[in-house]
Amino acid sequence: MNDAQPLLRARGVGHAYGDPGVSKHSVSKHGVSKHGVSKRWGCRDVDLDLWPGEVVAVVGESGSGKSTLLGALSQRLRLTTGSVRYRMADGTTADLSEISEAAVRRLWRTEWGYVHQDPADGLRMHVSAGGNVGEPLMATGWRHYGRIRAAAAEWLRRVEIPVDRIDDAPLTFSGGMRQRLQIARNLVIAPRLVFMDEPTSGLDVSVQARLLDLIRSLVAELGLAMIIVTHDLGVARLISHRTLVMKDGRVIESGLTDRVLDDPQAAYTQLLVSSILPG
Amino acid sequence: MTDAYGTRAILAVSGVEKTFTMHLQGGQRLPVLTRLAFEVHAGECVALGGASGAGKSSILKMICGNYAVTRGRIELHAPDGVIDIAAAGPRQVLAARRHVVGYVSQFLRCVPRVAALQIVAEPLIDRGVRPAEARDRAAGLLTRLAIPERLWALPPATFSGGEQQRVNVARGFVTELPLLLLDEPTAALDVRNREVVTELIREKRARGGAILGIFHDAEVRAAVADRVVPVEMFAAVTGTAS
Repeated sequence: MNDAQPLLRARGVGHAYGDPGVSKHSVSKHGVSKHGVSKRWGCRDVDLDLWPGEVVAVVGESGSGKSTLLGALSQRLRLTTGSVRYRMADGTTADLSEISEAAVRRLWRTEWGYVHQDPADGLRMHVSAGGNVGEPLMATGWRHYGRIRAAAAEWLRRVEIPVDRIDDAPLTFSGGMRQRLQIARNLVIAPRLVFMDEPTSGLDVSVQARLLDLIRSLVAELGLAMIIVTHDLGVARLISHRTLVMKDGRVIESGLTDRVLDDPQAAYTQLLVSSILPG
Repeated sequence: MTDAYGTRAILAVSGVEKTFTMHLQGGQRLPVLTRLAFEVHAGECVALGGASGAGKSSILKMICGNYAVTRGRIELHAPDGVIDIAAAGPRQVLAARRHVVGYVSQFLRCVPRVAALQIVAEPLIDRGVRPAEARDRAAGLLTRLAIPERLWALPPATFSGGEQQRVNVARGFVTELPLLLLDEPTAALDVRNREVVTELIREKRARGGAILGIFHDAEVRAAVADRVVPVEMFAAVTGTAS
C-alpha cells in the first residue's frame, strides 16, 4: 500500500435508473430528464480512492445503493454523474467513461475480476470446472493445453476444490464449491482489482466462514485491491481495511473499518451496529 | 523530543476530549474525558488508573485509532516523523499500527478457521518476515505462555478464556513495536502466567519499548509500572469517579 497513487479514484459518482441514456447532460438537477422520464438515483455523490492492496467494504441494507455503486465503479452501469479514473498496469491513468468499450473489455480480461452473489451468473454452469478456470487464461493468449490444465488444477487446489472434480461441471457442485470456483475463475489471471457483490450471502454459515477465510488469505497473499459489497458487518470487519456505509444512495459514513464499527458516528451506522445479534 | 533523563517521548497526548453521542437515545451526549494530557517515553511502562467506567479503555482505543477523538492531539513519534492519530486518515492509522503502536485487547477476536500459531505469526508475516521464521518466533512465545503444542494448530474459538488471552498477548508481543497498549493483559491468568507476562513487559522495556496499560491487578501493576496516570483527574463529568 506504499504506492503514491491510488489505483482507482472516483469523484461525484452517481447512477440514476430511468436515465434515458442519451448523455449525462440530458439529466437535469431536478431529477427529471429532458424527456420527462422520472428517474431514481441508485447512488449519488460518491467519492472514493482505492489504493493498491486495499480492501474496501461497502455496507448498508438492501436498497441502499451499494450494488449500484459497485456497478457504476466497475463500468457495468453507466455513470450519470461524476468520473472514475483508473491507473492501469502500464502506469497510465484513464478516465473509464472515456475509454472505448474494447479497452474496458481488455481490463476485464487482464486486470479486473467480478465475483457475483450467485455463482451461476459468473460461471459457465455446463462447462467443466477446469474449463471455467482455464477459459480466462485462453482469453489472454494461453494456448498450451497441458499448461492451462495444470494452472487450473493448481487453482482448484488453492480454493480447496478436490482436483479430481476438474472435469465435472459446476452444475454438480454445492453452493460453497461453486462460489470457490467462481473465485478461482476470477483470480487465475492475477487481477489487480476485484469487485465482489455479496459473495457469501447465499451460503450456509459454516460455508461462509470457510469462504471468507479463503478470500481473506488470497487477497493478502496476492496483494489485490478489492471492493466488496456486503450487508453483513461481520464480513466487512473480517476482510476490509476501510468501510463505506450507504443509505438512500449516499455514503453517510466512511473510515477505518474497526473505527466505523466500534465507534460509529452517524445515527444510521449506530443503528446498524446495534442491530447485530450477539454471536 | 528528549527530556531531562534523556529518554524520548513515543506518545504525547494533549488536550484530548472524548464525548460519545448516542443517536439512538435521542442524540444524548455522553462526555467521558476532557483535557487529557500525558506522555509515555521509550523504556517506560505507564499504567492508566481509575475506576471502571472512567474511560481507561477508551484512551487505549483512541491511541490505536479504533475510537474517534472528539478534540485534542495524540502524537505518535515514529522514527520517520510524528503522526497525530486524532487527525490521521485511515491509511495513516494503518501505517502507525504497522510501524509504531500495537494493541492487546481484553478479549481475543477469533477469526474462524485460523489456527492459534498462525494468529500469533500473522503480524510478522504481514511485516515481511519469512513464514517459517515467523512461526518459530510465534511458537517460542506460545511455549513461554504455556499454551500446549497440541493446541497450536487449532482455532482458539474453543479455548478457555485464559488460553485465548495468552494467545492475544503473544500476538501483541511478537512484533516488537515501539509502543504497546495492554488492556488488562493478566485478568484471566493464573499466578505463573501473570509472572510470564510481567517478564515479557520487563524485557520489552529493557529493549527500549514503551508500554501503556490497564492493570487491574495491584500486584502486577506495582511490579511493572513506573507511574500511574490517574484518569479520574480528566473525567468530563465531575462527581462520578469514586
